[in-house]
Amino acid sequence: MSENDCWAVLGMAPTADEREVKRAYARLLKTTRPEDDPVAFQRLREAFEAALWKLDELNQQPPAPVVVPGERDPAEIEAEARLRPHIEKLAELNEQGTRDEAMAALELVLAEFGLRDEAARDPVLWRLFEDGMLWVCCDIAANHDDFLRAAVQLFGWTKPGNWLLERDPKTVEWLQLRLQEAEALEAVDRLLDLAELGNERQAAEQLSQLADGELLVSVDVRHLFEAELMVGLSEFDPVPTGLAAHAIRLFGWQRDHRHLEEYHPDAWREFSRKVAVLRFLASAAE
Amino acid sequence: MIIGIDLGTTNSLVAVWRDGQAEIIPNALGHHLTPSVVGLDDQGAVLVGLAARERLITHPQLTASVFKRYMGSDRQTRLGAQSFRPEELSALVLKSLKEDAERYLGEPVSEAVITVPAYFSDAQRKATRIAGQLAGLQVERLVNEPTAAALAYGLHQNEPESRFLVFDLGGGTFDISILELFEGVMEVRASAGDNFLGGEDFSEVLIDGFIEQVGKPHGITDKMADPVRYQALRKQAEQVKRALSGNEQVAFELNHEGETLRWVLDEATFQKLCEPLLKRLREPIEKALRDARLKAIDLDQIVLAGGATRMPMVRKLVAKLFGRMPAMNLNPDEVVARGAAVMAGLKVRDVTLNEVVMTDVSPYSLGIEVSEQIAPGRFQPGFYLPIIERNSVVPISREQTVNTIADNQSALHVSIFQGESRMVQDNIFLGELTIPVPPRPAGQISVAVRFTYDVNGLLEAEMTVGETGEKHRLVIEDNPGVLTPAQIEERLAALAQLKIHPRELLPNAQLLARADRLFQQTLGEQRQWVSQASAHFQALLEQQDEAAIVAGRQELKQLLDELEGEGWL
Repeated sequence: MSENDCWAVLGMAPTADEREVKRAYARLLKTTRPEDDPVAFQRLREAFEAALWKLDELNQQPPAPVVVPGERDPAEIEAEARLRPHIEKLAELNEQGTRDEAMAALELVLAEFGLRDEAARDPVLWRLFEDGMLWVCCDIAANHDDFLRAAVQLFGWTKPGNWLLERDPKTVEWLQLRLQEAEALEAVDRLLDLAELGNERQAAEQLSQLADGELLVSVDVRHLFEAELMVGLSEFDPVPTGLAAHAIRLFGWQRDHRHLEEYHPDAWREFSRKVAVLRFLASAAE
Repeated sequence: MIIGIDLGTTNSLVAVWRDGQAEIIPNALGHHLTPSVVGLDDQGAVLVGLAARERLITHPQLTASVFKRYMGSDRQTRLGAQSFRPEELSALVLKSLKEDAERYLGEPVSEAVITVPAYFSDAQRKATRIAGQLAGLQVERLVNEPTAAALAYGLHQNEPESRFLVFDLGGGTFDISILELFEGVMEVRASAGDNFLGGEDFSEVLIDGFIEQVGKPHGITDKMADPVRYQALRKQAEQVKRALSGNEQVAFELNHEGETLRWVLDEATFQKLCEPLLKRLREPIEKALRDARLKAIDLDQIVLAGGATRMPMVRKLVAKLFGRMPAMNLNPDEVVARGAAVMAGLKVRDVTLNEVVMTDVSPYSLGIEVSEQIAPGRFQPGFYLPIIERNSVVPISREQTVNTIADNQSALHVSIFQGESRMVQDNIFLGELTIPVPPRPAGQISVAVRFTYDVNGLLEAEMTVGETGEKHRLVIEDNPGVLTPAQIEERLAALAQLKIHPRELLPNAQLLARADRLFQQTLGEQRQWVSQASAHFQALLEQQDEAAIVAGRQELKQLLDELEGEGWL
């Protein structure tokens, strides 16, 4: 299918709007059913896939953060105005600052607005602060792990019965995943440190335990763990043979490594090159 | 009328699309589930369903179960003096379901949609079609089981757009499908699975545990050695599996040489033993997510299908794998059959389904064997060249061109495989064809190999020789697991000779078979009760007084229910 045929088949002008593409496809599909006219269906399907591919290219910019407006009383507006610069500062430090800077700033806000003491704090201010923190935690991709942990702890978002769990379970799922991922990344760091110190056997043992443990049961957490472990290993020269071979076996990378390649193509190339050299040396030695 | 059938490893169901909804059709006993068990009664007539399942223990040589696992192979099962292929045993189950549907609908039924595991191979799919044919059903469509489950769920979705994953752990097979729903389109994004992982394997784990803990000290070392005992163990394992939940202790019991052997265990012990099975659930999930280019967090819902998802340990694992609780608003035993009924409705263009279109994928790659150049002028055969990549939307037609590798090569051998491995020896062989080519220098002759894969998951291959334009089609028939049309005719005639136990007498047969089984499983006083009650009921049957039979049936059933605690169906 040539460059712009897909739009003609779909009967629409080129667009970056995914919903519009899906709508056009769905409408045509109802008169071009796969079981009735395989040839026409395949043409439609190819056009649909091509269009999705193109709009993926067009949609590289991330969406802007959402600010929630609403009816408020003047006291609330005033409190928000006082709080806002601090929230923005926290967001900024999370994106560009160090972990310590972000944590210190959080402590500062808690102290300055008297929010530490549950009995003494202003409930309106506390609610606004919670909203602001939720925005920081969900919209800033680069949150420091400790910052996120502190926030989740502070507001109890993942605890049963929390308002957030009732109103927006998806966000809670996301936060929980994010916390588990932080733990998994720390585990990767510990393994790599061990390997660096030459304790490869111990690292391999720990890796076995991790692979069977609770933390890596979640498919998403395991996915990230595997990918970061591969990236970490690719940076060694030479690669710690035993640990790399163990990881390959445990996670079945010889069977399926698409997720690793997709996560970091350069690191994957490096990793497989180094592992291949090792394999070659090992077979030469035999 | 077209019916939808879930032809399961352990149980089968039949359903129909009527008045804008899926209805499960009850069998002669009034049950939704018909055990996929076939046997011969003492007069040599065919028994299907619960009655046959009861006789698994008392008459193991005359009864067959879990034959779905052998679909697509030519394994023979002996029942008394006769032997049956897996598709014939399946046909007998289908026939019984067809009859149930005809009674229920009050009209003849000749067409069906049948579900198959998404991961079923070409040969297994063909065998399923033939089973339908042998049962007098034209199979209008084969639908992947998780896709059917998704159809049943998708129809009840209020969200205009959503993505969900169907986790289908049945009696013998495990399937994963990821679906996206938008604007009335139900699109399967990816399917993956394991054809040899299901609830039956969890039962086997319990049997093995029992043999290890209690059997061996009492001289039982081989679970299969005695077919009667093996079936008793299976039944007990099934009961224990259902009872194990939470902290409760459950006893696994077996009568052995006049004493009752007991193994008491709890769910934690069972789970530990099942660890290797639970681990096997992960790979298909990861594969399907990667194929669909999605993360688990992107999914809106996890849907459970298949009876084995009732096990608490499976549910807990699913919750952890995906970081959320699975949806459970439809009965997991029935959801596939309901989806089959929806598909049947779609097939006949039921007006209530006008706005729904479904697209499915091929769950595995299809390709040919090629030789690769390993050094100048040196070729090594045995490599796999995929032509249709797995999880492509079907129907699909794709082409690859291959060239001759030797000077004056006069023929080209095309072998077709299904699978994902780089070497063809690790993939499943589907068929082969040798085509003549004009002799030319190496590499000068090209052959275009086109694969066309249809909505039912059936494959056609067409080879076109570049220079001559000569075309060759490959009809994959040479498979040991697939019957030829002539063999089908022959088998149809053989099946027509079989006596089928009359449907209206099935409730009586089932009850007597159950009493026989209980006689074997109980001891002492209980045994006496069973024996007397059973003899009394048999006497009633001989008197042929319908009212007395109905009353007697009720009485016997009550006694057996009491003896067994709760019925396990």
